[in-house]
Amino acid sequence: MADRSPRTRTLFVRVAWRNLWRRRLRTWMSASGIGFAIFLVTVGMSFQAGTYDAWIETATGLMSGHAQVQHPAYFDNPEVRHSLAEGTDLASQFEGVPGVVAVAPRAEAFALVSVGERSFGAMVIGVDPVRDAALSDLSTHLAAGEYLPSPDSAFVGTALATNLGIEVGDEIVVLGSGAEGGVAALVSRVDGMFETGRVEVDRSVLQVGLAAMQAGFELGDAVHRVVIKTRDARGVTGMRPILEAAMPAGGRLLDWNELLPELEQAIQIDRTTAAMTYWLLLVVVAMSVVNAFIMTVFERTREFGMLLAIGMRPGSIIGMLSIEAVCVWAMGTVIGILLCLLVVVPLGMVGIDLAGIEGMDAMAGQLMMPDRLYPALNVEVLVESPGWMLLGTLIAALIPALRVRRMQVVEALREEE
Amino acid sequence: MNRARRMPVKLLMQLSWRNIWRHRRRNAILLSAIAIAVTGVTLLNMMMRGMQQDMMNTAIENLTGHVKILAPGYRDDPGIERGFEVVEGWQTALPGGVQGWAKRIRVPAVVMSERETRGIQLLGVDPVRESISFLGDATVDGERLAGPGDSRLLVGGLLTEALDTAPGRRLVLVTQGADGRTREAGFRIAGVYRAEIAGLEKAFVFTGLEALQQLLGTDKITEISIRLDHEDLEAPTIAGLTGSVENLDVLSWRELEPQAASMVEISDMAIYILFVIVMGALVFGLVNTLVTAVMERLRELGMLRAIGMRPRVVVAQVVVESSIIMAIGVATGLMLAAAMFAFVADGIDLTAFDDSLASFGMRPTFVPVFDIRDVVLVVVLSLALSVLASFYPARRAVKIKPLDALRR
Repeated sequence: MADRSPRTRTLFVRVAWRNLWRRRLRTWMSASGIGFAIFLVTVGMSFQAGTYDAWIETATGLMSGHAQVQHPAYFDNPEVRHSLAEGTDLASQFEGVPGVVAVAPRAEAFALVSVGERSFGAMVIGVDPVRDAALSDLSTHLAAGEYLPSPDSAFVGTALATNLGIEVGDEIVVLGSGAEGGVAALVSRVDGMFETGRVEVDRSVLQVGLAAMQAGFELGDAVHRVVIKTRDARGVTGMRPILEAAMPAGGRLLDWNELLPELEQAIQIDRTTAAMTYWLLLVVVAMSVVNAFIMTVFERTREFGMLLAIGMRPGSIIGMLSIEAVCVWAMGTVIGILLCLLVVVPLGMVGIDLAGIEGMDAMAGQLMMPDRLYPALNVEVLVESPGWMLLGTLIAALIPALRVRRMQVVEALREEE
Repeated sequence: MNRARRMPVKLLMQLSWRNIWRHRRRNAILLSAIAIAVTGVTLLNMMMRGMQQDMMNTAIENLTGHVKILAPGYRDDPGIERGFEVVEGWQTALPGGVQGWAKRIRVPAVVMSERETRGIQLLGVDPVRESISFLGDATVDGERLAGPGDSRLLVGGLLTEALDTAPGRRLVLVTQGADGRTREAGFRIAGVYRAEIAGLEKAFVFTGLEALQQLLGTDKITEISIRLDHEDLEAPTIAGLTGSVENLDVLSWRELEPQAASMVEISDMAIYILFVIVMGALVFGLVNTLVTAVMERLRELGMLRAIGMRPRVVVAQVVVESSIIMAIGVATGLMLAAAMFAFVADGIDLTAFDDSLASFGMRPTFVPVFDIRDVVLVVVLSLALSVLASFYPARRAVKIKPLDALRR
């Protein structure tokens, strides 16, 4: 190993590269196997990333936002009296925080919604229409009329409207219990209806103006949630310190992981199942590479014997085999990543039309999926699977290569070609 | 002539078998690759089937049943106005294999305690008949409903906490009567039930069917839910009922729980994709080994050709060798998977993922499911792959010219 000049090193690489082409088909098969695995894993991970982004975007976009400030007891025990005082001021405090895109205060209560003799229970949410529209998608699901045009308007889900037998322009009465324990009453005119496709929302949500809600439910200027939308949903955990600094004492900050625990866990489950498939794939491909190298070493026993006889060190032969392995890996990686880019980049730009796939349209509404899915490629995806594959390929080459150390020169030379 | 044309099967098997043993090491690696792939695929498959089964059962036990009879329009506007009267003898239209059925009233209602107000689904049931739904398995603190005439309530645990109430105390229910007027009445709580899917506890409040009919001023019901012994009986049941219950909708759980139904379909697709991907990865190793095996035997194959072996027998040799390797690998893999399945067959505790499992409609412990059809699919797929992988190596073997080969 004394003589390791750059010239010798390039020589090694050149010899290794030529060795690969002595068994053209085998090299191509090994490289394609590696490429196949890398292609599938990178494409799969890109689709996953795109799907999770879409899940987070649709789930947080409808109502919850990326983070919320609440009364410390409200999340576990949503009672009307667990409110934050001076909610409107509180909302403006967050507006200046860097990274915050939109802030909206909301007051809410469960109440009975009546029209004539018919009444149904619903979640009544008082919103500031301008601020809420900047933050929530609900106003974009407009099915009829307008989104809260005046302070005494109501915005109601289509299923609830059908149940109540009302149309745009009708008056509704909201009855509930106020923050002070008295009877809360509110009269509103239905000026608009929404249809999100999520039955539980369309059937049980009613939005009214924030001021009307606060007056009707004896809330003063108190609110139940200050909803915050940030530039990037995934970055919200990192923003916690800045947000907490802007929060008054006695508030509780919850990010979407806490607000929607099932979302985070759904992502975890999906990721775990996918990861098991990827590992299986990588191990199976790595084993075919082991196989290829076993055959290579076996066929070249005589050659190695000769090299040993003229004074080459076993370490150098193993080194050369490792270079061969790296070359095969590099070919596979280029194949896999090129194919991946070919698939993911165009699809990432135009998106996949989920609504066009049969059976998906029903899911889109129910499973918080958008109409189009955009696979997302990131560096992590492009580095991780080739990285593991490199490790797998090197181990695959070393398992048979270590035989060289145990080789008896004379016997090796006698081996028939 | 006839004799000569026949494929020498026994000879082929012998030749291939011995060839495999000539290269123990590399074939052992290939076999383990196949076995690992098959074991992994089968275990993942059993897990996915388990989840799928769970989602389906939950959807069905969630007061849906396999088949449900509803009045037209009830789904868009659930209420007692969309109720119906049961025709005498409607059950005669049911084919065999019915586990049970239940008549119910299900109406939206508002429930109020001294402190809190919540929206719920109020159900009037005959408790004996509810063995077909989750209510049959649910544990109850306090008393269960005594019968259809019982006018007390059975309330879910989470709702009881939210309302800050307890068995023996009273709740006020507000709902719509048959005449369209609002009914408001006080009920005593008989017991508190705990469901495996916690979300259900917030959604449903039960009382006796006849007691609820009396409150609403009707003798109608809003649904009949039917549970079958097996999912395959769904189509004949729907066909049988559709003709006999006139002016009513007979619906499958797939229509009533579209979310669960599409999740079931998606997991079907995911299983097939998994099969093709992982088994497909084996092709590369298999082709490599087979080509080497052919190239090493150039002389031997050339000689066999020279003494009169037909090309198709040469091809058969390669195919048989490939299939034997695959078959042994698959058998080993399946046995390993079966052994590992025995470990987890009692169920895996997934309480850590509780919230999300429930949102998918799954239970906190889930049991992997073994489906023989999937095993058959793996076997067929792997044999097809072994034939596919031997195509190129076999062509190489046929191209061998006896003279060239012998001269080497």
